[in-house]
Amino acid sequence: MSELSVDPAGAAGGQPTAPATVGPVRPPVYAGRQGLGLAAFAVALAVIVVLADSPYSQGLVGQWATLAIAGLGFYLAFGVGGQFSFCQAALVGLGAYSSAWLTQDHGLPFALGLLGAVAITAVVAAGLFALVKRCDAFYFAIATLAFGFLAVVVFREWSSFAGPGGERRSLPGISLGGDELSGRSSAAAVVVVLLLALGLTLLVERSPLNREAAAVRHLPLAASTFGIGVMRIRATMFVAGAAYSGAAGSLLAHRNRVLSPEAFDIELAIDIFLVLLFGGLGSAWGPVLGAAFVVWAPEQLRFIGRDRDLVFGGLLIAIMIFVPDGLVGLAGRVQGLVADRRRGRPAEPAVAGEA
Amino acid sequence: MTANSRRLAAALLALGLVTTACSRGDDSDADDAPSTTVPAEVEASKDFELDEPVKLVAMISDPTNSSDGNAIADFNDGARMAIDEINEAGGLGGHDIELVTIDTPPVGDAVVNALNLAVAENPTAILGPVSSTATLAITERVAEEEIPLIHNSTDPALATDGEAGNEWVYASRPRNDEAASVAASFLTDELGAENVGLLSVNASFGQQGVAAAKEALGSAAGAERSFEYNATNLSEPIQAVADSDAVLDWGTPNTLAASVVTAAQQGLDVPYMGPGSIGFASFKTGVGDDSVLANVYGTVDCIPTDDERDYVAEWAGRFEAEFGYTPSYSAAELYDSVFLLRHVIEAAESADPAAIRDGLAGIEVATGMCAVTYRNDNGFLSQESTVGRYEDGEFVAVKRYGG
Amino acid sequence: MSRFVLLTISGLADGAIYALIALGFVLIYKATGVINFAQGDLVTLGAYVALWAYQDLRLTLATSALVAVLALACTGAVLERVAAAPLRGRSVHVVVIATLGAALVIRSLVIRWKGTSPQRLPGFFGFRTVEVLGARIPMQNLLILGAAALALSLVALLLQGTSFGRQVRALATDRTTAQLMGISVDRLSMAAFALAAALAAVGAVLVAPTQQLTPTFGFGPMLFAFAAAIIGGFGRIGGVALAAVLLGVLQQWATGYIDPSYREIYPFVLMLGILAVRPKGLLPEQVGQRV
Repeated sequence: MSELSVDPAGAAGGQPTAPATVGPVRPPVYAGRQGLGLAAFAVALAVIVVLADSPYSQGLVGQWATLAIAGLGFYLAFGVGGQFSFCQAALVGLGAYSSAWLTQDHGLPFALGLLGAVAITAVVAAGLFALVKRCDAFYFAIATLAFGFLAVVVFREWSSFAGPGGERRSLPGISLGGDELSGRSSAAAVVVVLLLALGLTLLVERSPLNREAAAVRHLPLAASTFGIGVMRIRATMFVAGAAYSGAAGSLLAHRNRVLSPEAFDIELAIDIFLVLLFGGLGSAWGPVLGAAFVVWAPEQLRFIGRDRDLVFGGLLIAIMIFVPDGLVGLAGRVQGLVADRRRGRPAEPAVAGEA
Repeated sequence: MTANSRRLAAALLALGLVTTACSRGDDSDADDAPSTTVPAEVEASKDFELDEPVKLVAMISDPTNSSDGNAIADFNDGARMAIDEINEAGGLGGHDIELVTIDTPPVGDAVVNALNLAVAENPTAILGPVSSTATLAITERVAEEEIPLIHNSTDPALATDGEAGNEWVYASRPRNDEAASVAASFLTDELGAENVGLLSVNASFGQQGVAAAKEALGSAAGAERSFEYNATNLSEPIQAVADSDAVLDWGTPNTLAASVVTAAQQGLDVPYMGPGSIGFASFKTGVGDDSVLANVYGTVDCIPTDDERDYVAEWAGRFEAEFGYTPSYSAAELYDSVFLLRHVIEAAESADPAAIRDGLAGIEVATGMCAVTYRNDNGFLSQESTVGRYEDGEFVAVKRYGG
Repeated sequence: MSRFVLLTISGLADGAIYALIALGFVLIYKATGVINFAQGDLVTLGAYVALWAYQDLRLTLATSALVAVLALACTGAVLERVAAAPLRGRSVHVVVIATLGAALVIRSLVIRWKGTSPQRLPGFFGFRTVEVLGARIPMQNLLILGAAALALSLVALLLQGTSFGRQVRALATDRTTAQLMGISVDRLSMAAFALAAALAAVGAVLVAPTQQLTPTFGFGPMLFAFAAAIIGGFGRIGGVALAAVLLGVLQQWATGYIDPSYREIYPFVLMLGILAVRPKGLLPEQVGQRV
């Protein structure tokens, strides 16, 4: 990216310095080669799936991809849309139960179950948003927290939708064209959905929608005077995030093949936060990295047993203090340092008389 | 304090917490137990050769391997004791039995992970899980992988012909509905109750229990209430059953303690009957006042510390000498599960999964510490319950059913 | 009739506890702008400290309560230093997450210390009940009402009549100006956290005898207290306290007369309903917003 050199002394009558060549000015987000990055990531994923040869590692890959999709949803709602919400876990649950209900009770194939889950979750989220849209940040957060609790109780009590006591068993697995996938191919299917979700999110990041959302996040009043529909953007991001969560829920239901309401309580909500925190709030890659950490760490650290909460709590505090941008932010900072070194010192304002 | 030094202090604190946590992690509490000086009374195994050692995987959490606050050591300690005693007497099939324990939470992705880890160990058989939800979640996979399973759930859905059961899955415990039936019959037959109030948690455990109890009570069934598993204020349900001459409460350990205390507060002084968790120490500490326990009964699987069979009392003494606490029925059942597996492996002279499966299916008479006689009835290996009550703060046996 | 009386008094007692907890975090919010998600776990810690003092140190119940209050006051100050002070000036979500992290840490420490088996903290009146209009009311409930009313009045006096109170109100009204006027933000923050934690301990000691004491004991009441604070508009102490008490009563009535299975969600349904119509709560004041 070329830079214009600034010449504060120019106006004062020194020799005007010749401006450097100026190409079209492109915002930073276009500078990243998203397409290449996505392709490289797809290759890496393929390698991972091929290497996962035990049910245990296949299970972990599937869990990681599912959690990453849910994390992307939270990223859209919070990182892009600016609405801190506690209800992502409940929306994942809603997606899971919807998909289970559609496939198990109504005999629909998995693909329709997935789409149905996405649709139902989006509609419910839209309804919730409509209810509390005029609330400010903290009230909105608590309202979504309340929704989260409500959802778990509803799952437990509404037997015709969620099964007796919210327990569902023997759910059909992920299937493609009538054949049920298992093991590696099931994990591969989830990974494909992750790629689609990530691609979609990257597209959003490159779009004008993202710029408008940034304005809405930081300066809503100013944004609205520019004609940006603040409520519209927030609603879109919230509902989009919910749709992702619904998809993640459907995948979860058909991978685990059992459902229990307690699986969608505040523990999962905290896990989804951690995904975004560890990975970083500023980019779609954040949830992908963060989910890897959240899925991998407890399994590796089984020996810490009882103290898992202690360690995670301590990590939360430490991260908030030192690395609030998460892993991606850290990577970004390192990348920035490296880039600075390579370019030499950034261009300084030219002083009159010196070329 | 400057901003930087504040940050440093916070960081040090966080670091300190992390290192404290990490440094306390250990992998086995068997190393900490005092060595037993009471001689083992276990007979050596039958003399035959197995190609590979028998490997048992316990999908059971205990305080050393799990972050689950509710995990207790009883189960795994019971299994360890059995395995240690068999190995000391010469092992099984010419090898020592191996034990691997895997932290298994009750719900979520982690159950699947635990199962995958268990399967990856190539076990001869799996012990546990302990929670019904985890057990229900894994029965299909267990059948696909063809691994025999002896679990600790009482859910009737796990019966061999039940919706979640199959020929590979066996319970070391009696069925929940049978236990509730026993509980109800005790109230009417032994205590002459004619109007039994029915309380329960609204989860399947409680609902199954109440349904079975109502059937057993017939016209003696009185007012009914149910509440959530984490309910804390039970004044209204207790008021609803205030006119009963006995109360049957099929709840969870937390609600049971709250229920008993609330009943005492409300002046409801009638016989109180609960399920197995009445016998647990956690129920007693949850109530906190022994005088309130005077009229409290529980229908448990067995009471090893108050059993008329001498060898059980001896066993309980050995357990306490080795692990430092008195064994509950859970410890006894895990101990028995290991011996049941030895029993069928010896009979078949093989550790082949299908042979073990058939052996478990065909168990007719096998003795144990908990049940007097183990017998396979539709996937449940025990059909015995003991009604006990609290006397001077001790839980003692009153009447044994079955066996 | 007796059922109605039982439900109402239970509800008032519940509400009194919610009010004490809500008061704690509203106080912190006014003084520092931080929403303290660790408030519920402070309640839990308070109850366990009292239990320890009673069981292990063999102190009387009253002295144990005092020990709990003092210990929690110190804990509150430490919490402020670790989770709030280093993050001053950062965006809302950062501090919220830090307090959430602190909550997890406190809960874990409690589990390490006392395990997860339910315990019981005895109450002053044991299991004694008193008859009120035909209903058997545990005397502990009446104690809760009395003690909570006393605590609330004291805090109200504190905020109105003392220098500390004036400074807190100044900070709540206009932070920047207050700082320019020389109010020490550091000291005030620590004091606010300490006071809020002390209130949590008072609530804990009052309510623990009526329930099982487990490591998640304080979390539920905290959520209901949030709902109450939001309904009340998160501003005036009196408004929040009133909302809390009303919420407790309505919750008990609904549990008793409609359906006990949904006990946990009535407060939230009410809160969502009110927020849909009055997005700032019933008696609103400004909650942190960047424009």
